[in-house]
Amino acid sequence: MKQLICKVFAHFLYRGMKVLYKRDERVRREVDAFKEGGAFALKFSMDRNTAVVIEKTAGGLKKRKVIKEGDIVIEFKTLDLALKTMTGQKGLSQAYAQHDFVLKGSINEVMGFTRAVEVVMAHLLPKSMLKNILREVPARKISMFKTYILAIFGA
Amino acid sequence: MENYFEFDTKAKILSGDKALSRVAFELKIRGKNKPLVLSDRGLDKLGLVGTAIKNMGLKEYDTFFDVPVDSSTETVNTVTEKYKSSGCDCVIAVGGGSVIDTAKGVVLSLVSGVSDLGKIEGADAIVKVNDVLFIAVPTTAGTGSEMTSVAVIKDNIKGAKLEYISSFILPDVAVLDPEMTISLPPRITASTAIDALTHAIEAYTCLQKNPISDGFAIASIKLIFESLERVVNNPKDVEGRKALANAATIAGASFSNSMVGAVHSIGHSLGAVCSVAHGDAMAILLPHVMRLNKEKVGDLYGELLVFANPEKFVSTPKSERAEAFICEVEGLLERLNKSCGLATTLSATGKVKKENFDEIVTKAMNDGSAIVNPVPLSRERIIDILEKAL
Repeated sequence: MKQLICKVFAHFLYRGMKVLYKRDERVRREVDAFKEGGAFALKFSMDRNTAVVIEKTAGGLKKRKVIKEGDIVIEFKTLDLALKTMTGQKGLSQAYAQHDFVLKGSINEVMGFTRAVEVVMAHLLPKSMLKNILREVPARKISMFKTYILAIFGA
Repeated sequence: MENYFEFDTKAKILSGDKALSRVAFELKIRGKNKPLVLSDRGLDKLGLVGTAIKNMGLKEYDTFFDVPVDSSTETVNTVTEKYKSSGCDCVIAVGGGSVIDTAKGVVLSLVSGVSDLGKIEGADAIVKVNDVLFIAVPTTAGTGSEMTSVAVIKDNIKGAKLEYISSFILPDVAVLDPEMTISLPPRITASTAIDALTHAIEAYTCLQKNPISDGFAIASIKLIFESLERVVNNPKDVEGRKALANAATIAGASFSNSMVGAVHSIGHSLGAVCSVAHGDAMAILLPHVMRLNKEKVGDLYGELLVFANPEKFVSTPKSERAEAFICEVEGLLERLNKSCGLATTLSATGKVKKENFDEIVTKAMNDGSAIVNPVPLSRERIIDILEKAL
């Protein structure tokens, strides 16, 4: 069940990033800086092989099923820790600070991904939650409702 | 924020008079007979490595003194091969940040059994398969590298700096012998000590701060404010030298666990883009970043005033202590500028121009330390700091 919840939230994170890539220059700038063909993988637990892999393409982002060599992998130490971050109970910066995950790959490249995730989170979560998990809440370019509608029905 | 932290430390610290002479015992009780001693040509020419080897009482050992200014994967691979082929059974690094980082790279290769360091880049990503005894002998009092689980190694082929965070690169023994730092010129003494002060102040205020790292940070700040100017004005002050060496080591343990913030994010970029010496960058940026962070962590800065100037702490209302502490730091930097020429502006380094700002900003935003600064770094905020520091 926890895995499924993580996958659902990660899917919305991916869809939200796609939506905002077209509508928010902060996300577009960060995503455009990712290496084409490179990917960020969110692996929900060290002992399970479940991950969501977001790949940078020429036109934006796409989801891929497998982790390839050279991908940047954020591998949570336990499923419970993944659940906290994926459901917005904890920010990615907080999770990094508290050693919730193992990071395989360039730490520098993860910084841009983290900033993009924070902007996406700001569009997907209510402000009351964001205050507890982000150092500074980024302003929304479109409403939360519109972000979800676009994420569900197409960016 | 959820109440959880990790504090990772390992080194047995040998600190004080003739500390080097105790290394032979440490090797003996650990069953080690043949260390590989790493250093650089500069320290070799100064006779410092020779002194260290002699004082450590090493009988059988091998050496590698060609560590470059920026540690690189090629150097790490060369040294690792030498370690294996010469039958060495432990590593001793005698030097500054680059020598110790190179040694960490060698230890990393040996403990992980991986030959391509690029494959194990990251945080906590290394799986240990071997044990390697690692002794660090710092020759400056600043980096604190002898107590940190971080190493940065340049990959010249990729043209990138690879960053590693792992418990397995923490030295087993750190040797703080005043003989290693007594001949440091006042200006280098000042800039390296300001690096340590920055480690401590950022450690006390970053996102990963915790009660244990706080204790280390405070002890370091107190020692630096008490000793630094004394040593700059009298470089042969052995007690002061010991205090600064302890302060740098303690700050290293602190920031290795709570991380550093924006002073380092921007400072690393100034080093990479404009070759500004690390300690100088810290001295120049520290007050400006503190003013940025004051809005979020002003109370914490206020707490530190008592260790910089106890009388002022008592006479200053709580609401004004943060600014008073920043002024204490600025006052120290200005006095060091007058006494030994420590740079306090970017212009004074003669290396930074406004046209460099864009590249500096991009690199600073992507530095690993940016993520734990109390105030998030934006392009505008970094440019504002650079302009004020110019």
